[in-house]
Amino acid sequence: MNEPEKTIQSLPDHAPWWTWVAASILSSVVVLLLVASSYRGSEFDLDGFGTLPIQNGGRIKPMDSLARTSLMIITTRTVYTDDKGKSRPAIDWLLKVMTSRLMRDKAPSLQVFRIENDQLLANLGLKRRSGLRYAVEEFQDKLGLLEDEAKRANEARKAGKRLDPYQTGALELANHLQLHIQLATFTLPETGLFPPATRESDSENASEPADRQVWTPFLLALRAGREGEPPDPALEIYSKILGAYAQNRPKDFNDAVREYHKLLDTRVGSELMSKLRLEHGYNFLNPLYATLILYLVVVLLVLLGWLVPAPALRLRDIGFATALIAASLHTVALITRMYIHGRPPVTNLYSSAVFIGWGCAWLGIVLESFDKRGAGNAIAAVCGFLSLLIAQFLSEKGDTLEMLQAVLDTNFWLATHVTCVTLGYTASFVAGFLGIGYVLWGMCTPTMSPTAGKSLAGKIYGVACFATLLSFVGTVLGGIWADQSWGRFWGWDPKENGALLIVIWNALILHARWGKLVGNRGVAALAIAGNMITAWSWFGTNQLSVGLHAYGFDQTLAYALRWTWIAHLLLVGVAMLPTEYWWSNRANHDAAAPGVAGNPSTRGKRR
Amino acid sequence: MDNTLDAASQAGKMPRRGQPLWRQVLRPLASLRLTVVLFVLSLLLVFYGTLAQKDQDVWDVVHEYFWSWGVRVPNQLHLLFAQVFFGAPTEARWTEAYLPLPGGKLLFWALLVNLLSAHLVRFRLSWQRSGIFMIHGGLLMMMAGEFVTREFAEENNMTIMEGGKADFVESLRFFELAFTRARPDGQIDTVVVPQELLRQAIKSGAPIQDEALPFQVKVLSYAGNCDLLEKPFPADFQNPATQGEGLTLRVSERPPVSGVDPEQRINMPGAEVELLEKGSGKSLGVWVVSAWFQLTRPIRTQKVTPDAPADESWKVALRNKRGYRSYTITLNKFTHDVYPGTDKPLNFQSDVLLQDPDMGVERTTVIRMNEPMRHAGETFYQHQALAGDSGSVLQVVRNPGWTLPYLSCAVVSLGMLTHFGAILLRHLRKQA
Repeated sequence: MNEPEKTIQSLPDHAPWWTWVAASILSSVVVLLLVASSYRGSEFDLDGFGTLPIQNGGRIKPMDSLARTSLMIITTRTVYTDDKGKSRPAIDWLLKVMTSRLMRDKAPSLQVFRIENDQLLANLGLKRRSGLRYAVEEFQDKLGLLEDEAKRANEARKAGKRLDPYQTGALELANHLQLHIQLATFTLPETGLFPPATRESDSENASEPADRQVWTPFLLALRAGREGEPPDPALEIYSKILGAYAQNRPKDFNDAVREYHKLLDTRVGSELMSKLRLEHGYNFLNPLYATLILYLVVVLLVLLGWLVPAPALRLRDIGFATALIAASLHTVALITRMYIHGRPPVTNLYSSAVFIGWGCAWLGIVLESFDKRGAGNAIAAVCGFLSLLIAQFLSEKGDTLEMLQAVLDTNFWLATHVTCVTLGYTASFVAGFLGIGYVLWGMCTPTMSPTAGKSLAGKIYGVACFATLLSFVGTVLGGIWADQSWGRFWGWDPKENGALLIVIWNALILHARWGKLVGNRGVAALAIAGNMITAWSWFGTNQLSVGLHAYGFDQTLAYALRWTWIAHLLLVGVAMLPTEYWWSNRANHDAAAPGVAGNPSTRGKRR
Repeated sequence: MDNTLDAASQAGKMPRRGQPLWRQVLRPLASLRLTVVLFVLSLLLVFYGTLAQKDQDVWDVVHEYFWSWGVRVPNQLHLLFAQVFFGAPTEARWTEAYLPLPGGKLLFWALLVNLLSAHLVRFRLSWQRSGIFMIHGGLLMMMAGEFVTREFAEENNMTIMEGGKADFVESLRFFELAFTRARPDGQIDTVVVPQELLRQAIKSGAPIQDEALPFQVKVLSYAGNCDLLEKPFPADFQNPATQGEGLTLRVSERPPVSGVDPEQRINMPGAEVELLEKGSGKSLGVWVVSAWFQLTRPIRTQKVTPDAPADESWKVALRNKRGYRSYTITLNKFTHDVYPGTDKPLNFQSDVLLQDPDMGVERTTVIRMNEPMRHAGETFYQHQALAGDSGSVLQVVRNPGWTLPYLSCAVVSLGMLTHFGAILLRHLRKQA
């Protein structure tokens, strides 16, 4: 084929060894920088305290996880800034909150409550400042007003009215304050602090592991002690820990934490403790955040590789190697989460985002290894990055390793149906993003040669085949699960219908292509529209059940969906512009020698 | 229109002249263009059928959208979509207009004709095509399964108290007026009047009679869903009831329950019935009956022949339609586990003893979420817990087509693997 020289060439199969070394060094630097930036030393053994277990929401988790999810809800970050302007870890905040009644002033002066609405800020007598984070003591005198506003907003919501941003803000702030108070007063619901002490002595209970028993809440243990029962040693040590923290005695704090760990060894067993340590370590290293940054680096490398006319630099090769490293890190993170949770990869929206990102990354890498023009790599990085960004946003909602409803408590169906359907979403998204790539490349650059375009469209078609298979099998497995759990194979419920839409849409793409109703460009446009349908199934159907009562978090999701749809509609519109307006097409025309009759592979694509 | 396309269709016309008539007729029906159009229509139908569930019962939606020939999609759904996703004001009203769409049945038959024509006209049996045949054959099987389910499947409930047993199932959607009499030997004589007959009797006004009953039954009113209201009654209310619960409670009709009802309520009918002496037609009194009485423990039944001797004493109740079975299920133990320290259910489990003398079966089994029990063509699912975990409600489903989805899933999946595998191989070979 006589391609114009301008087009992006496929790279040779074997990249030189040094590109791998470069990618490894680059990734290590990124990861190390991130870890180093999240390390904050303290005289207090915060890691030791953060590893201590708490039973919350039906599972045993390290205190550190509770601290992070709570602070994330309140302030949308897992660190806070103390009064000296220094960034401090969530566990430190939690300790300050838990000891705030011992030390009247510490917690209320922490600027952690994020308030975004201007009107609400004004009504609370606050001035807009960067970060939008405020301390309770700054609006203490307006708490009555806030309570009234929140109550009114809640009533409006129950009456089916849509909340305006002011009401939403008031309601959220009130909820965040409530969470803060529950943490400060040890009244967080569904929470137990002290594992039962009967592990070794009571032979009947010994068979029941600690995470299957109900742990004693702090206040209950306290009351039992007051009513003359023998005090639980766990309570005594815990009080020592909190007391030492409140009085700023790091040595006593650290000793008490060590003592408590020893006590735990006799009560909860080493397996659970090692899981807690693992979760604590996972929280600290935050591998998914590092992965997210690495994907961003890959995007930059691929873009530079395309734009910078210096093939000797091998930027795209380094990008590919970095993508492999990022995807491997993603895999490790995924497996760690699965091990901690004891579940297949997808159990809630957050984990579906992590899993879809993972699937997109590896699918992109496979595509790239077929044909090294950078498209697969770009897909891996862009989709991986976007889905982890979505995951990051979803993690603001609370514990991402939450327990499952009884009907979902089946690893077999979670592993088969849910995984399969989610992979179907993944493949559909990859096809869609390849479609976007096709349109942007052809429209906005002169470098898409007819063969390159054909090859890219072929990839979209191949991925659509894959998506059809996965989404079909996944959807039917869902039906079989439903038949197994309530005797109805197909119930036409919104989530099922959403999956069905994806199956039909993919089938439509395939049939339209087989019938030659669309060419390369048409397949790309259809795949882009497929993203809209997949987004509907993933988030839209949930949104429908929340519906008009949505506020805060759910409302943001609705906005995001809206703009996703609008952006994709625009892209489909661009894809449908006549080929005369495509830069690549004009470039190809100019390149073709006069007298040669047109350019068959683009001329034919006008249908 | 593009030149190449015209050329292609010209070329297609050439050999057609010599073809038999049926091919010429089927050819347009077999077009892939039609397939794609039908897919688009199906997408729209499924999409609107999802949106419609926001305000409508899922059964109604299935009936109106997926199991119908045509549907008029109200413009209101567009407004709803705009409200949820595009921030349209909640109090907005849009013009009443309809978008007509073909319903599920029509689309199914159209797709079927399209598919079969395509196979007759275009496809020849070959190994290369085997994947496509498997995919399409499997899909047909799946549709057949859905049809069998829709037409022949029965869903009932079986309620058993812990330690108790049950040998009948109850319908959630159908009701019956039951007259019962306990015989000295422990057997119970039962005469039931199904809900359709009650409705008919109101229309005709004629009393219902049965040889076994010493009286005739005249139905004065029947409400498909109702509340029972206590005294004091409104001043203008003429209480027709002269006996039993009706002296203190009256039936107040309600609209039927909507399907996405957040509390998942069910219809609770009520009726006023008058009993007449056989022969003379003299009134014995008017009773209020309602399914609400089934929920009380012990179940409230009303004596209608208070003066008769014990073995002649009849009672009346409006209850869920029952189906008696040859087997008995005893609930040995009911377990309701929660995640430790929470109210979140972890497991519902019924340990049951199944006895079926006809089939010589006697075994203990565990029924829990995702682990149903199958017996005598019926499947028993853990459905609900009775208040205070005092017993268990099983969902009992008889679906003669339950194996079809399993089979068809396997066939289609295999077909896709074959077909797409072949495409991939071809592609790889081309690349090599």
